[in-house]
Amino acid sequence: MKEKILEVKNLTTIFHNVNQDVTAVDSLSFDLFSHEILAIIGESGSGKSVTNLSIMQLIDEPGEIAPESQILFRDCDKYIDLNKMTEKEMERIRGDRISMIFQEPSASFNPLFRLGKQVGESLRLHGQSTKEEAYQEALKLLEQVHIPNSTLRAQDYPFQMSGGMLQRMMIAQALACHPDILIADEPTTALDVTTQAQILGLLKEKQAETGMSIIFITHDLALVEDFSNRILILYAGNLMEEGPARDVIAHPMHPYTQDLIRSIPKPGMFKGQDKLFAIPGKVPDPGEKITGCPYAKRCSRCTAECQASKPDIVEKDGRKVRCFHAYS
Amino acid sequence: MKHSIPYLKFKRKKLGMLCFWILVVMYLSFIFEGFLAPYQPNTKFKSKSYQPPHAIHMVHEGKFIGPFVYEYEMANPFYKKYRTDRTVIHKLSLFVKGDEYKLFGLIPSKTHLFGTKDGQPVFLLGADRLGRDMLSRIICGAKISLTIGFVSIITALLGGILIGGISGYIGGMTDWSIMRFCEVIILLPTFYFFLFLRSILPADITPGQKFMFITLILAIPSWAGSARGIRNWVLSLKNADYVTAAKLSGVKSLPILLRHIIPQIRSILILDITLSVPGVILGEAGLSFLNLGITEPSVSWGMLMSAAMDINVLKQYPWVLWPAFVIILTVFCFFTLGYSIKDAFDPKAM
Amino acid sequence: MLTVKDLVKHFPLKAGRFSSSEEKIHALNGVSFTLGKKQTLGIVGESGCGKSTLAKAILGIKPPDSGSVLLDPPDTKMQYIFQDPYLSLDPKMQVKDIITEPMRAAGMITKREVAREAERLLELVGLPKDWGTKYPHEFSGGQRQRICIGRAISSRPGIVICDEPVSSLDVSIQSQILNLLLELQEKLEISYIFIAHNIAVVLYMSDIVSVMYAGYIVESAPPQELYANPKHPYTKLLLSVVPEIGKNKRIFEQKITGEVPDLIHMEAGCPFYSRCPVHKDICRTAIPQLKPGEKSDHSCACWLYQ
Repeated sequence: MKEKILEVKNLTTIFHNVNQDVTAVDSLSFDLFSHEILAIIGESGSGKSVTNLSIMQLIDEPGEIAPESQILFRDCDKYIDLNKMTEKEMERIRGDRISMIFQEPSASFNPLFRLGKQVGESLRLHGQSTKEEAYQEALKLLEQVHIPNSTLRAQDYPFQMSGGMLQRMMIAQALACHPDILIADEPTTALDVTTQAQILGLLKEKQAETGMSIIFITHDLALVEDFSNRILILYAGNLMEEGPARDVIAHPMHPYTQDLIRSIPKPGMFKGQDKLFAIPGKVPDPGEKITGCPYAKRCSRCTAECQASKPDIVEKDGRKVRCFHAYS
Repeated sequence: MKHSIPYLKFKRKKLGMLCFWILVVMYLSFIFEGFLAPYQPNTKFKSKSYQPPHAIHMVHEGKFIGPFVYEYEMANPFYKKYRTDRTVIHKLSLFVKGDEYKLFGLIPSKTHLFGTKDGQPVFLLGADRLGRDMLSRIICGAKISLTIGFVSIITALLGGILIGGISGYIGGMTDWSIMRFCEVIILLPTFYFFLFLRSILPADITPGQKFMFITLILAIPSWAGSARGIRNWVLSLKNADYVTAAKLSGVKSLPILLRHIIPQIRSILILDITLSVPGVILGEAGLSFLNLGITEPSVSWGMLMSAAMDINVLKQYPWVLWPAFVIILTVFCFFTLGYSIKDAFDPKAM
Repeated sequence: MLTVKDLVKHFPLKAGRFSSSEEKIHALNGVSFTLGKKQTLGIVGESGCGKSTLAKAILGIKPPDSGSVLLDPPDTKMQYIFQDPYLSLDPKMQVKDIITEPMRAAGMITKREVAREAERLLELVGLPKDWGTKYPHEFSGGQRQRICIGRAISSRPGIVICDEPVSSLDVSIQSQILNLLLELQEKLEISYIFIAHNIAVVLYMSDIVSVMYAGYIVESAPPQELYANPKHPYTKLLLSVVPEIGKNKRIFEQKITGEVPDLIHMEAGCPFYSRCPVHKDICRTAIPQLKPGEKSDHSCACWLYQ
């Protein structure tokens, strides 16, 4: 029974830096349903990480989330606006209802404490158990993420673990309180492909077990094609395209998505017989003032209209595209 | 050229900028010291021993006559107490002719910024035991106190770059032994170290030589500290990719050190200088206070303060303490400036 | 052009100056290959396979414990492109000085010629030629990598080792840099050793691909052949878990056992033994050598084929 678990409305996050203001996320809106894996694809400057941090209300000075932005999270039977929550209220939600895992697992653990203790930390923070109980729970969690010899591994320090194991530890910690939403910010980018496959398998398994939703951020389009249900494509803080994963990749409608797919080296392309398409230009600098479509400068279908004004999002048949030429 | 972010941040720090300008004024003032000071530092007025500071008045007997001071006459020669004689006036004006001095050390001149028209003494900060103007002595003392600080640190820094840079870059046993040696020097209690080195200097050396030796003595502990800090930075920077790239391209070791590594720590070095100078100034002040540093006939702030050693003198003639305030102000400015620079470079502080 | 034979590099595990530990990290365990003129050797492998150690051993940054590196002609210059374009450029130097540094160090140009040569090189790598007076922080990641490439080719090296040159760049920029490298290879007749963990990129860029695992080369073949007929179980594993658009691979359903190899305690026999789904008894006790099969340019180090 799918229900909407998160609704982001017009999220705008601006950083007031010393010499300029940078709009990291510009009026982004999207929904997240239960049992769903939503992939957010973006390169640097796309705003993908800032979006997550905004949802978790972890944006500090000099950043600021616009007060009109709404981040509606389903709590029991009503929707609460995370953007209006106090810090104390957010602390109740983080780790318990919405969890996050990051790219660098080694940077997310305190090198001074043993892993078992850290994994059990969420349980204690959310008032559920004593130290002993939390530790036993943690051991169970480690088993659930298929860490062999969990009793021994729980006594290890982070530096003794490989990247893949640490990532599994991080997942265990994130899932300790059975959150409704797991936000995964490039969790496999720093891992080998074989380890990546294992971690993705683990995430799928846990998602099937608990019914939680996953927001999966990455820059790897090929990865999300069969891993996720829906894809959001971000560029320079703006939503460019949205739709079912397979559909968007098989029939991309936005020139950026099309160009991106053409420019990724695919296994089976060889020197001399295939020519890789290269998108000209570069991603806009943060803080660069852009009139019109952010992708206009690099787009092969750019017209005067694209440079003058930013296209609105057109929604049709379950697909969203921000382009004047999508349906022409 | 775009201004870098640290520069922009520093400009925002009002206190830091203020201290910077105060120091600039102080350092520039000793170019014009002869002109700014109403008297030469050793000009004595025998009958004005320990005269209190003059107050500048504008109105005499109800009439506005411009800036002037009243005469002080000796009331108690034994305790050197004075009484204001309101009948005798000494008018003040700008650009008066007074003692001869050499502007920039070259051009003889007699013009001073201000003074009395009739040649009688005016002591804005009082007079010392020999009737010498405190203000003039402080202004002339600035030269030595401020210069010793600066020169000493520059010497220490150059030594630190050479020793620390080589130590860090070569590594191995060379590095290990040099660092242990520096640590021994750092461990020695600084002031006693100064005293020790000072005591092995021969007694009969000229003021010029004395100045040079004191500068070197003060430089040695700073040199060891700088060497250590620089060596740590070199150690961390020598494995940077761009250093490896230079090595692969065939660039030799010394050019790598000077062209690639040292420029990265420019800002650290500026900070180091700014925060080390006050220590040296205080060191010189301490030595001179004990008559082991700068002595008569030269003038330095610490030397001036040796007059304040006697508690009775201090009680009765408190204006001999003015040099202390000037030292405090200078040290405060250096520290504030240094911390403002440090904050400007810290990416997290705003 | 380059012949590498039996390179071995083990790093001792020492903590501090005065400890004496016998344990070693067996990073490279006997790697051999040849590289011809205007040829690209692609090296692919995951973390810990030894590919970066191999590059440093060939260049002399971390000389090997044993084995030989022979250049023909002996005065062939080798250059290196780093992975991280943000760390490999001196932030305090102007780009024109950075890009011509190898030429100056080799005595090819004088100080006065720097500006002119810098313009030529900047144009060659697709950057505006009057940007020589700028500093690295004024460039984006992709642009900086172009500067690194310019620097690497400036002294006319015969061989350039590219160590993950596009891994830290945005996806939409990667193809620009790859195409630039190919273009320069044509123009300047350079040989590349192209090291990456992304097998798709390696297949695209190379004339020969070598797969490394735990300090060994386990398979070596032209890219088309390797992709169509992978022999070594590890190569097959790699190809099966690489995401491919449109192939519906469902990599999250693959059963993958084991972890990255432990380079400190290496067991006798094939390093892939514990993770191999098709191992035989002999695999546990004896290390297979890299030998060609029916096709002379396709070699594999696996007992299944010997």
